Amino acid sequence: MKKPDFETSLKELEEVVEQLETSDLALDETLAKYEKGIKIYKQCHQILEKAEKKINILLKNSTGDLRTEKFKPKKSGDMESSSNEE
Amino acid sequence: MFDSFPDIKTDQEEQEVFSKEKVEKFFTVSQITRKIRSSLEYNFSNVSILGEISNVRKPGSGHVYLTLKDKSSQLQAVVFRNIANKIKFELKDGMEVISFGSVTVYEPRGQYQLIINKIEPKGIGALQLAFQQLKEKLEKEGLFDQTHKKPIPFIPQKIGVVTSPTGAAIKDILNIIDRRFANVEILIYPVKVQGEGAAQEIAEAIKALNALTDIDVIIAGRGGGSLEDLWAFNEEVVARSIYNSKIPVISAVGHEIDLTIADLVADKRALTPSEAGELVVPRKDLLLDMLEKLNTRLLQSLTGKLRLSKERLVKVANSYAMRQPFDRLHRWQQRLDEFAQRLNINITHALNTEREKLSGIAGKLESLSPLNVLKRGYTITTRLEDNKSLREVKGLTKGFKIKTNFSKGSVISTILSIEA
Repeated sequence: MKKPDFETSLKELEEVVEQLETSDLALDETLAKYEKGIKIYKQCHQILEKAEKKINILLKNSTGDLRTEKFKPKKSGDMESSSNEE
Repeated sequence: MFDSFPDIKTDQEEQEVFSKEKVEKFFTVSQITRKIRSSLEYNFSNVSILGEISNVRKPGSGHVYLTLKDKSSQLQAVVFRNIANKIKFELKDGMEVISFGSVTVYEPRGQYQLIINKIEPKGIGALQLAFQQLKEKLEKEGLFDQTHKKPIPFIPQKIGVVTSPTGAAIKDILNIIDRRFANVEILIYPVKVQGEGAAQEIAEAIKALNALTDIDVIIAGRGGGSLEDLWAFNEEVVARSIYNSKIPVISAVGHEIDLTIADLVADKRALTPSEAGELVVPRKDLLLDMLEKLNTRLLQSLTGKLRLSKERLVKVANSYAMRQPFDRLHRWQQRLDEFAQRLNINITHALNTEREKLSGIAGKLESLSPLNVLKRGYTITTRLEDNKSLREVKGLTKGFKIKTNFSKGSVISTILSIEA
């Protein structure tokens, strides 16, 4: 299944709100639209909160295998020229 | 620019050699060739020569052979492989160059030639020329085509960053991302960003990240520096790895003025590493704000609809006033009022329960329709024996069995008494 995409969902939510605001819907339809709107609203929230904050760095061991490790940035202002050291 | 043409000197040592050989009366070809060679090498080492390149040949050996010429003369020249590999730009016929090297003799053919140790285009830096040449070449091949550029995902889940882990760029990128959209996964692929082998490492990293399944976007870059420092991002191998990447690539090299080949191939160019942080994630606070505003509008429009429905309800109630139990009606109205009020006060809470209550009210509204007689509490009574509907008491007696049909289900009763 394709991941719900935030931009599309947000646009859809906007449309629902506009329909609710501008068209003269019957109560049933109003409730259905409202329900749909809330569903999309929750979806959007989910997309925003889905990922976790994680910063990892890939490291290669002597046999060339890759592993990841939590990245700890150096504190002092390293200059770019020190980048050759790694 | 030109070394002055020195006279061929015959110093002490040379004279001695000559005199010794004079005794033998002749030179072998090899001997004289060697002498000419030493003489030339002695006099014409480390010269700089301005000339136009012609007749460039690049055989499989990796050495480059060419002829330097001006209006009236030609000079054969060779660039050996180890030097040729280091020349960033491509040697082409017609190019004005300044060559540095030494004149020697290629003994098997008795030809003198210039061995080039260093070569620079005239009037433009070697790196600028190399940039121009590669740009032209890749442009022709379509590596910069807009149609090939992939869109950057609006909200990536996982970002790959190809840069030095100790450089300025990674700090800027991480800071900006953290400020805009902290809960995102970042995988740093550490590479050398300058010096020998840097371009290969960068290209390898982009390729390796493509082999992972969960990277949504790649940032490749480094902080500012000289043209030489940034050179890796002008190398063909990096350009091709970006072009071949299935994952969209944001380039983030140096400052705005530093346009690199990588920038031209990338799906998106960030002017600086900080800008890459801005391009790669949206501002979450703004998105949340937008969402909340829409949610408020959603609720407000519903409240409006409720008010309208209430008015309709009152209308309906009035038209059936004679038949309807007023207390029930009032109760509904009251609940509706209450509900609307609560919505206004407590607009962001308990959406679900409120929606459920609304559904209940909608059901009750519907029950007011004259079409749903049974649902409103009316019943149809029939004779049990033949199920014929009863409209009057005439013909019924005590003990007679009747059936009362409700909206859902029915009961069977025995008549206790008849009041006519």
